[in-house]
Amino acid sequence: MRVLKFDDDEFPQSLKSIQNPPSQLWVEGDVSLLSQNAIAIVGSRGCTEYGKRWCENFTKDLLEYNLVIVSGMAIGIDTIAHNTALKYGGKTIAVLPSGFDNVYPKRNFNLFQNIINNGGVVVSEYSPLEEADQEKFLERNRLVSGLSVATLVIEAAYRSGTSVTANITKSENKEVFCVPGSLDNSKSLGTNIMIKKGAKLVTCVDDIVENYGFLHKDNVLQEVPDLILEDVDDEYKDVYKIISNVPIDINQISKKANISINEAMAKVSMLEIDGKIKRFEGSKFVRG
Amino acid sequence: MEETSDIIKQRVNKARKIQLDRYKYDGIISNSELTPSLMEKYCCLDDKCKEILQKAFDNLNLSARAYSKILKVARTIADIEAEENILPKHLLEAIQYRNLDRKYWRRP
Repeated sequence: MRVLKFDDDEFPQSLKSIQNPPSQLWVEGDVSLLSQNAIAIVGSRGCTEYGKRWCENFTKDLLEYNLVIVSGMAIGIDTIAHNTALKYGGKTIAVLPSGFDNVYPKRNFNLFQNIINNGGVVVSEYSPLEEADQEKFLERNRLVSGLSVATLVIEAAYRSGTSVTANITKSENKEVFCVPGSLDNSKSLGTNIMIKKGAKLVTCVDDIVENYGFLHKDNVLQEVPDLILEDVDDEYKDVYKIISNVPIDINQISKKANISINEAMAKVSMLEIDGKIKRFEGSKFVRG
Repeated sequence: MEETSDIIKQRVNKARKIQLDRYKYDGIISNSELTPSLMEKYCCLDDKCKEILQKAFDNLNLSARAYSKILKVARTIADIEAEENILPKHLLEAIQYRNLDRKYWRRP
């Protein structure tokens, strides 16, 4: 971890021009990402399956345009955006609402380490010992927006923290893109309202990239194998590692992990309950 | 290691015997006959087990009926392993069995 002062060459230019820029940044990881073309992907902490799916789809597609994915490392959409970037070998920036010694949320400590160890960067404007609080969540959002050419909102409740980020982006005369959602879904109320107020409705990545002539689709994505993206208890890691996007049954799992069927069943049960994996008919398992 | 049918038979008989002994004064002979009140008596769950069950109900869309089914199966797995109490691993395994039969009950 090191400190970038406002006057340092490495201090991101994009943050120098925002209202109320930070005077210094604590950083760990690949600092060069801070001066590359980046897009913020933000959304609800309590996102829905729909939000998760489209966050993954858009993140993946944006990575093909060599965009760095910026988010706030919160639970929900933020986590999914960071994880998807890592999963496909893309670059990602996490902006913390706390100092480095108090990584927030604690649940995402694993993600925090994964970002740093896989070519991403974590930044914070707070000295290491500071703890997260309500005010810092909002302050953090201005950096998320500031580092990005635009903000993509996947899902947001009415008057949520996500709406704050979107408003900041708008006030900086940058584009806000929103994934539309059902009127029945309270997590889409925020995004639908933003669209009503002039944010751009997006149905595919082209709706975003066509606004930026300097972007080219020239990044070939490759899945990073064996990257444990989520918090999985050590006890279940052996089984979790074996389960991928290709369905696998309990016999194969027990054989590969070299454990008894009973043990394998107990472990997949726990992973399933925790939402880390899913099961199909015919008792085949895939990553959740 | 492969088990012979004979060894498996012995194991099953032992679990049967455990149940016969346990239910001597309850007017039943096996876990499948457990009533809700008897279940409370013989399927005690520790805090860890309770937490797992709660989470399973919250996240896996289990029906109320599944509750007693899971407990009875977990009790049986514990008996096969000659454990006095239901442990988390028994409960977790039972949850998988319940899922397994769901697909056969579903309409095509």
